[in-house]
Amino acid sequence: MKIVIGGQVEKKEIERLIKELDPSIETVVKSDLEAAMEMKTGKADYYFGACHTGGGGALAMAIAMLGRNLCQTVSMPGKKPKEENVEEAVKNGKKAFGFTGDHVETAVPMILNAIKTNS
Amino acid sequence: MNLQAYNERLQLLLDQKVISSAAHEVALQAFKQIMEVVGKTDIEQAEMLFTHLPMALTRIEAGEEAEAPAVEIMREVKQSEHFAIAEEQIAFIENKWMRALPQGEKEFLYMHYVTVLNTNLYKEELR
Repeated sequence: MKIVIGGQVEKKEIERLIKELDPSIETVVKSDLEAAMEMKTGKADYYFGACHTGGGGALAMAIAMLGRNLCQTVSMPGKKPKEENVEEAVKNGKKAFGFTGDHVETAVPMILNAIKTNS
Repeated sequence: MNLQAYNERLQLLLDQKVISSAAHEVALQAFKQIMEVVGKTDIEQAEMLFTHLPMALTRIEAGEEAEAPAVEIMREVKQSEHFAIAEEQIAFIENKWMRALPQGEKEFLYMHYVTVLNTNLYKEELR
């Protein structure tokens, strides 16, 4: 599995967390636009991105290039990620996930678990 | 990011209906305004602010609103020597938008503007 890390903030931290949780996952850090392009061209399986509001810089370019039906904001300011919502999103075929920088530690393992459970 | 790169980014967001045309127009004017303020055509670390801005305006148009950033973060933001310029930029946006922005959204914009102004003006001042 390959995850491309786009968004605007905490990119290295997201990559470190993914690698810590599962070293077999291939990761690549890109700009938001390049990351969305990786997804569009099938070079990555999932997109993770963070910004301060979860749905702005984190996901904007991914939404533009992949469409809203493949993208999911999993956390927003004051709204932590919820396991059931993340599981539902993965089950519904979402491939790009946006969250706030302060929820990285919760969101990343939650999304990875949901992906593995669903695969 | 220069104006051409920003134009392409905005156009993609507009074409795919991720942002509204009103948000597109105001964001473009805000970018031109900051180019004047910092006296540069290539604005460093501008992608986050200028992607956030049209998304936030579109969100506001749709009746949604983000909660404000943490009080501690805003305390730091307000201590920036460039905070007054950030306030002027948000006032410019409100003027072009022709309505006031919700306080929580304004605070996110202050935060982003201060980051961009600190990056671009400090480097200019050090030259």
